Amino acid sequence: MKASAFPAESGASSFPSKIFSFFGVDEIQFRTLLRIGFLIDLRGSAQTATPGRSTDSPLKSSLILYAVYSAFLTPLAFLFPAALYARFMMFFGMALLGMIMLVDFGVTLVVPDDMVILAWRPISSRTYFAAKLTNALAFICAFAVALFTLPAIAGIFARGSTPLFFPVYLLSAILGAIFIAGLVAASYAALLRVFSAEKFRSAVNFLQIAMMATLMVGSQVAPRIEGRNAMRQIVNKQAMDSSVWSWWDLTPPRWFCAPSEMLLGGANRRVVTLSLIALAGTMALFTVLIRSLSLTYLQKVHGSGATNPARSIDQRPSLVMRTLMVFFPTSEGMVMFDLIRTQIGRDRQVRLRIYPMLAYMLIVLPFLMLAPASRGNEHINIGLLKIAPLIVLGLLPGVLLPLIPFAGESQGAWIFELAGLQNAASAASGIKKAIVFLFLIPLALACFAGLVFFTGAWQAAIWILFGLAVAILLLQVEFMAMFSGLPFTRKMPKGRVSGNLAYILIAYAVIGVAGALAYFVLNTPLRLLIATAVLFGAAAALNHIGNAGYQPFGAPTLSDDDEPVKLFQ
Amino acid sequence: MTGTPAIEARGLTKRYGSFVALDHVSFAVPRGQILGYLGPNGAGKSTTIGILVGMLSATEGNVYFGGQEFRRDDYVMRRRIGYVPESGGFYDTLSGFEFLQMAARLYHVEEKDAEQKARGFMELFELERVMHQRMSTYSKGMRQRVLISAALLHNPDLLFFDEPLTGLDANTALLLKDLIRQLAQDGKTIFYCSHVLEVVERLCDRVIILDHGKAVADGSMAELRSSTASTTLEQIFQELTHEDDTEARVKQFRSLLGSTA
Repeated sequence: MKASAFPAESGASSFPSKIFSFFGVDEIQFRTLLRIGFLIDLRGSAQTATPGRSTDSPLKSSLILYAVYSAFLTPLAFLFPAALYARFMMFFGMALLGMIMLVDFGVTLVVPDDMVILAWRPISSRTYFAAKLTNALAFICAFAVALFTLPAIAGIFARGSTPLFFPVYLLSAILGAIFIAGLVAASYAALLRVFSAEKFRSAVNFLQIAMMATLMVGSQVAPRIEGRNAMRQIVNKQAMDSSVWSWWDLTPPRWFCAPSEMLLGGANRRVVTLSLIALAGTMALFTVLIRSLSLTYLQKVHGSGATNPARSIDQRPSLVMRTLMVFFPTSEGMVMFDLIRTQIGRDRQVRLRIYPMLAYMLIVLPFLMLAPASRGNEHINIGLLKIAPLIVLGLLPGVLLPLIPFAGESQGAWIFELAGLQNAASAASGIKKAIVFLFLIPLALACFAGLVFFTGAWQAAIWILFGLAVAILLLQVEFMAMFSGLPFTRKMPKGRVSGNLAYILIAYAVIGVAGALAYFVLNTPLRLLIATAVLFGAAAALNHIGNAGYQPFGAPTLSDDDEPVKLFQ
Repeated sequence: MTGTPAIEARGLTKRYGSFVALDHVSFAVPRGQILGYLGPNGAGKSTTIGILVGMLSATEGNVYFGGQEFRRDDYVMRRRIGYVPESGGFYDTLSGFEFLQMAARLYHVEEKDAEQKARGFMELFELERVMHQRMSTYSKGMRQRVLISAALLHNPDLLFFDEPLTGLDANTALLLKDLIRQLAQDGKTIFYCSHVLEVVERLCDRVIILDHGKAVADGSMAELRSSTASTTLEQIFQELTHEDDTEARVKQFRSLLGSTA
């Protein structure tokens, strides 16, 4: 197989050309595809575009929100020794970037449009893959810069730090982001090699769920244990010894922290080895990706986008969907559930808005983790940690609801204007159930997986249920407050962003009261279960009242002047 | 290379599980010929075209261009292909001009030439007024003109059109038909897939009719007329694809409309 369909051009002896040649990538096609990729990503939605005007890309606001999010974490620099602070931040940052890459990688690398546009042109799989991967890497690097710049600056003021901490830590973090992006890309490319084109999409979905669960649990458990170590270090007033190996050195964030540790504590065998692993590992990963894993990438991508008549003939919902259908007695409810699922699953702009909000939501966790224990030898306040699921779950509805599209923002919204909505109550119920099934329950399970390490299964289950009850109650209240019309048909109000923040602040207040009650008053299993039952009951009542308030609306009717359409004369 | 067909399909078969989309279809198209490829919905036309342009792999059978086997990873041979897809095929956030520039650069056309060619095609198809607007703002016909330009600007010798007249106004459709004839006269081989039988009848030198994945007719219009009792392509098509009872189906349709009124 030839790497390029075109003869080498003059100037092919330059260093970049040699690199492209080494990887078997066509330089001109690579540059063209990359440029187009950036143009498409940086331009706003095609739906809202008007001639001669460009729309804002959601990227900018995402970058600002990531920077704001990281700003909340920077005070940790004044609590931790510099090296521990670096490790702690690296765990959080890489887990978050991994999640972004996981969810967004599918739409960055596997673009359905590419099939008919590029599949028949003389573009090699390597060239296509390299361009798409570079495109994804550029975004990940931008996110990494937004996420790590402020912590890197704050790190200069951490105990035992130097001004050089900023460039070394930031560069290591960017390299770490590149590595994690490559790791996710390698997983996708490996899937493409193992599975047939038809099964690729399903395989990707399962991989996403598995890796997301790993990252969620990893981002919850690992920093806590790191945090426990950190607390021990602080309590003991000991300087951290960067030459001591630990099992945690097997995790990538430790490798990418090693250069900073070398700067802070001097070179020793451990930090030099880990730094070399970080550098060599990233280079090796990308060499394998481009030279080997990408060989059949383009063909497989095209295959996965191709229609499969056999499937369309015998298309049945999956077992999970068939199970879920029990909870949706009306077709309107199921339609809304599907619409939300599709919107969040496929619309990159919606997802770009979700990530920073989710990050914002998780911000409370490190502070809870660092809260001093009131008694015993515990380094983590388990009592406060039990409230963590309540906070995370309680904030989720307020974060998600404003992201549901307004009229004109969604590709499918026109159907409501055309067909009307006869059962608005069921539709509202479907949207709420979508948020519960798609977000609240998976997040509750992830929280359970984290909490069970510290409290045991029974306690964890009770506290998660309590958190879920508060979250569902908040969902009902916020839904009633935010949606005078139903999602997809509601009009965009002025001051939308500040409005969203107000809802989150209200949620904070409610969660604060609920958390305080749980911590001080409802601190026995029986009391907590009774409170949970009461909250679920209140949520059910609000659901009934709220849904009944939505009026059905019909399709536009013909006026008397309109001539009826005659199909046959 | 006069005797060697420009495009040849030998025993093309495509299966999706137990479903056979294409069943041992074979044909050879000489250089400079316009081949009309017809069939009812789901007959296997798009599958054939997908295999011929290298987007799909055949379960069985091979494709040859100028006597040489065409493999999907043969990027040199792909340079000879120009393809106008039936739907999609463009990035709607790009302008028509940007899209054509991209298409040209992918074939290593020099930056300056790519710009000139893109501008030239936009002018030829009367799109200069909107050339810097996003394609999301274009009408269907405008997009189709961009797609046709994108398929032609690298000067391929094997052209595959899948319903190219969709959305085009009468003048542009006439222009395209003349252009296709001229391209064939210049030695380019045209594979023309369409449902518009009148156009195929007037434009194509030869017609293949596909039904349920099998080629049920192959020949010039005169040959098809002599082998069937029909005189027009429409009648031949109906006869061969079993769509001869349209009147009864119209009656059934009307009764259904009546029952829901």
